[in-house]
Parts: sequence; C-alpha cells; structure tokens
Amino acid sequence: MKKFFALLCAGVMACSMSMMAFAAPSQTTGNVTDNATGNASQTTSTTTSGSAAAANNNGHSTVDSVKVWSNIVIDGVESSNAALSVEALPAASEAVTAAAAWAAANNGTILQMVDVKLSADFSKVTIPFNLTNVMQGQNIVVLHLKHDGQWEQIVPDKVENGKVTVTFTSLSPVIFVSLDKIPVKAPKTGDTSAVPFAAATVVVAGVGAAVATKKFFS
Amino acid sequence: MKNRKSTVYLLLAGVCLLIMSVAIAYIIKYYTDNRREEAMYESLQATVTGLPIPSPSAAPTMPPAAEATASPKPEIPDDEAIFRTVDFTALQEDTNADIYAWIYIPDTRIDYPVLQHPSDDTYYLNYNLDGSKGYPGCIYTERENAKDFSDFNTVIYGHNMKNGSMFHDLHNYEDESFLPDHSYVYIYTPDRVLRYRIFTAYRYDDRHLLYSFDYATEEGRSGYLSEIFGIRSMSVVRDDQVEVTAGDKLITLSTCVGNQAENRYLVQAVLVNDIPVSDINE
Repeated sequence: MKKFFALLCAGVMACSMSMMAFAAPSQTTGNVTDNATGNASQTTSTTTSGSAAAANNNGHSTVDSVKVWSNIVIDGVESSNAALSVEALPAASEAVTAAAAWAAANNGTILQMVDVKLSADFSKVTIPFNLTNVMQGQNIVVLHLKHDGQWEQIVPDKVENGKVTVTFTSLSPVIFVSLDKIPVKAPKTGDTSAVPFAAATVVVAGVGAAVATKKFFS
Repeated sequence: MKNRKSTVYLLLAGVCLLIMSVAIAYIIKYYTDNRREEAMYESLQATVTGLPIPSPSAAPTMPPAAEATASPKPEIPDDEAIFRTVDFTALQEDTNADIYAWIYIPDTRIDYPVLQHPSDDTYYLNYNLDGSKGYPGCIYTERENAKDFSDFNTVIYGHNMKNGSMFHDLHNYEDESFLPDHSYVYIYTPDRVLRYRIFTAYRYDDRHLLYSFDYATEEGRSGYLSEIFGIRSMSVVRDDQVEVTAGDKLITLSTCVGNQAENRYLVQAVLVNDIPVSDINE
C-alpha cells in the first residue's frame, strides 16, 4: 500500500513539474512599455532611438529626431518652416514634470517634449512633425502649455508613420504622448500545447487506475 | 476495515479513470482541431494554380513605334513559382476577408495565405482562418506594416508547429546546405508577385523588430543592417553574394525556437523582383 501511494505521489509530482505547459498560449499584449515613470529625462532618452540630443550653450538641446517634415501652414497659407524652431525642453522644467505626471495618470508614454517657437504672427498654424517612432493609427495626444499656464490636450490632425500633423493656436512647450501601449517583445510563436503533459497524464492515471482496480479485487 | 480500503481503491480508480479520460479528450481535440485547420489550408493550397511558363519565342512582339514609347517592363525570371496565381477575391469572400497576400517557399510546407487584422495585432496568433481559437493560428503581419510590402522591413509571423506546419520549416535553414537550393521566397498579392532572395537566417532575441529599430531614416536602416550583418554566432547562415542596402525592401519571417521562449528564429530576404500580375498574365 505504501509503495503504491509513493508511486502515485511520485507520478503526481512528476506531472506537476510540467504544469507550465498549461500556461496560456502566446499572450503578447502583456509585454508592453510603460515609460510614464515620472522621470522625464529618462523617457526622452529612451524614445529618441539613437538620435541623441546635443546640448548647446544655453542649456537647451537641439532635438535631432523632431524635425518638421515639410512646409508649415500659417493661417491657411503654406509657408517655409525656416521661421520655426524646435528645441528639447530642459528636463528640470516645470512643464516636463507636469507632463510626466499627466502621462503617468493616463497610462501614457511620453514620446517627445519640445519647445516650439515661430517667429511670425499667426492665429492658427499647422505643423507636420517628424517623430520617427510613431506609427499610423497610434493614439497620440499632444499636450500644449498655453500662455495662461493651463494645459491643453490637442488631438492631432493626422497620425502617419513617422509623422504627426498638429494645428496650434499658440506655441510654447509641446509634449507628444502615446496612449497606446507599445509591445517590446515579438509575438510568441511557439507551439505550447500541453499534449506531452496530457500523454504523460494518461500513462500515470492509467497505471494508477489499473493498480487501484487490482487492489480493489484482491 | 477491508470495506473501507476497498472503497478507497474504488474511488482512486475512478479518479484516475476520470483524469485519464480528460487527458485523452484533450489530445483528441488537439489533433482533431489541427487536422481540421490543416485540411482547410490544404484545400486553399489546391486552389493556387500555376500558369504555363511562356517560352522566349512565344513572347509577344511589339511594333517598333510601340516599343519606343512603352515603359520598360520588369524582366520576368524563368521561374515556375512566379507563374502561380492566387484568387484573392474568392479567398477574401469565401474564407477570410483579412487575407491580403500569399507566401510560398518551394520544397517546404510554407504555402499559406497572409493575413492582417484591422484592429488587433495578436489576433491571428491565437485564432485560425475560420475564426476558431487555438493552434495553429495564421501567418500574419501587424498593422505597422503596409499591406503592399512597401516598408523597409515587413515582419511576417507564424507558429513553429510541432507537426511541421506553418513556419516550422523555417528551421530547415539552420542547415547551411539548405539555403543554396532554397533561396527564394515568393509573395503574391492581388496585383503583384514579389520575389525575395534570402540573405540570412539566424537565431535572435525576442525584441520586437518593428519597435526596436528606426527604419524611418536611412541612417537608422543602415544601422539595423550593420546590426544584423554584425551578428556572429553558430546559428547564423548567410549568403554573402546577396547585397543589401538601406534602400532595399526586406521581409523577415519570424518564428519561435523550440523551448526557448526568449529567442526567435528569423529568416530575412531582400526584394529582387517586383512583377505586376498583368505582365505575368500576358
């Protein structure tokens, strides 16, 4: 009897060691980035993907990865983008801290934080930004710090691969936030079926049933 | 006392039989589902037909004036696989509306429709052509890739099925001797046939290729190529005769590696022929 129970326990233990085979297959949506940690300088550096920001003399940075794709549209008239300047926001600024908090509260990822200036008068300007990591259909929100200190959420006119087109009524710090969670790992394309485990279970349970039946009739 | 023992044995036997029945039912269901999906793929594969390869003498001739004004047509390689035709209208109407291309590697089991779900990138990882959940899923791309294969790197995913279906046969390229005679991948779309030449196959980590590299700039694309040509490991198989530049169009076929959840097996190919279907049918 002891031997039988020892055998049965060993069988159960052997089976339970391979319980990982029951893991749900290929759930990749859980592998996501969530950079909204509140550490603004970190989010900037992780999303510029190699195009490092170069510091200049006044403590600001020229953001290589944020350029303007083509001409801008000022009050309905296409104009050169020469009058436009795009610089990285200093990591220690209040705007960055506030944006990081907003992104964290909304489960968003900060893609880029820039200070946009235009040396021309306008009531409405449309700017096609070059954001290399952005994909068509991505859920992007643009945070814009207005002159009165209030944050405005702007839905972009268009989000294309590497390009976000936004219309502003005033310019100042602008933060691009992705509300999509971006997978960082490739889909799991393995065959994780539990067939080997099931086959082992059939054998162990079969032996158990046979022994128990034999003992019952003896 | 003896009666109590007998009852325990009887209960034990019953429990064991129950467990055994559940396990057997699971195995039967797994193989039945797999067989059903395989049969569906086989029936679709049977609909892909080949056109006769035109002989050079049978090629239509144009009058000199027409020759002078017509735009040069791409040269059609003398390759049987190019002359296969896929009826996308029937596939989309009768089987699945998300089918937008077909992938084929001669002498392998890779001969499948390619799908892209309009809203959920992981859908076809877990769902089959007929909408049922489970293995083997489908061969698919994610929304980040355009359906016309115009991106620098189009990543195509498929399960590494233990029964040898889907992208299991990509692992044939682990054998160096397999590549020279099986160096082309064919992608059929409703209006074009794309012929890619495989230039490398290797084991890689599980990072998401579309989000981990910058393909939007030439500098970024060159950096990515440097990365993959810089890989030095026993798993790398490479065709050094194939030149790949940042201006090329690549496809990456991605599948899993056995029990190594943190690794992927990648086969990469570069576009060498882009032929309009209308030219093939002429």
